[in-house]
Amino acid sequence: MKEKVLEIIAEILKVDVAVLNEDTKIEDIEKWDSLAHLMIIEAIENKLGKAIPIDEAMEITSVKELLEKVEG
Amino acid sequence: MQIVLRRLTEADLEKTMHWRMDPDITRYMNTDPVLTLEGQKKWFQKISQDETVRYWMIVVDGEDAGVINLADIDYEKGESNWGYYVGEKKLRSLKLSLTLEWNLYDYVFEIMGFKRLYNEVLSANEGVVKLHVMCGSRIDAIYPEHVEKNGVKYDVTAISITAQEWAAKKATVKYEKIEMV
Repeated sequence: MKEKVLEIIAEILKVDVAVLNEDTKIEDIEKWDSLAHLMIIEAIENKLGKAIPIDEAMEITSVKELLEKVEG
Repeated sequence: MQIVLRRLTEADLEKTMHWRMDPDITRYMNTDPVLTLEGQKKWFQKISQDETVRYWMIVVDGEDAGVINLADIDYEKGESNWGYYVGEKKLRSLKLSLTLEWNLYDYVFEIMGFKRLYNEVLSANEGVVKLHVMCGSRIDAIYPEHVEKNGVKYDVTAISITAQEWAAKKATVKYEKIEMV
């Protein structure tokens, strides 16, 4: 699951998946703005079948927190 | 994250002028203006006397971040146009976007007592349209080739939300209250 989530993030942000890990914070990547965040949440729902409520999604600040939501 | 909305002042104009001409901002806007500080000061004097518009500086953790506004305020109909942009790239978070939008809904419907809030978005900016819909707004219409910028015509999506729709949506979401000074 972790690899799939990282691939989704990398595809949307157009970055090499190798630069992403659980410690990556949203603020570390300039391209990870509000609209990119929205697209990532939407792609996770469409590709992995995991819907994250929008008011929970907005509290996510790192890849680790995103993975916890997806796996929770 | 502490967010404050304070009324725009003349001292803010140089900063907001640069934001408003940033291609990262104008690609979401209906116009690509070429602004001057002198022109902005005249504009500010004009809007300071205009009761149909209100402008606030968005301040995030003490840092000026962008501008949010109401326009075409119609006190008789109880409706208003609105818009915002976050000029500081590092502050463009989903949390800020949602918190701003939901707090503005609160302001318009609960403090001003209005019935309807609306805006128009370039349809090509699908993410922005989705963001508004996720916040509770709905798509009213799509106007083909409604805006022309630099010789290119763009479709525009008209979006709105009513007081009743916001009351229903509000009951389903959690967000921080913004201080408006």
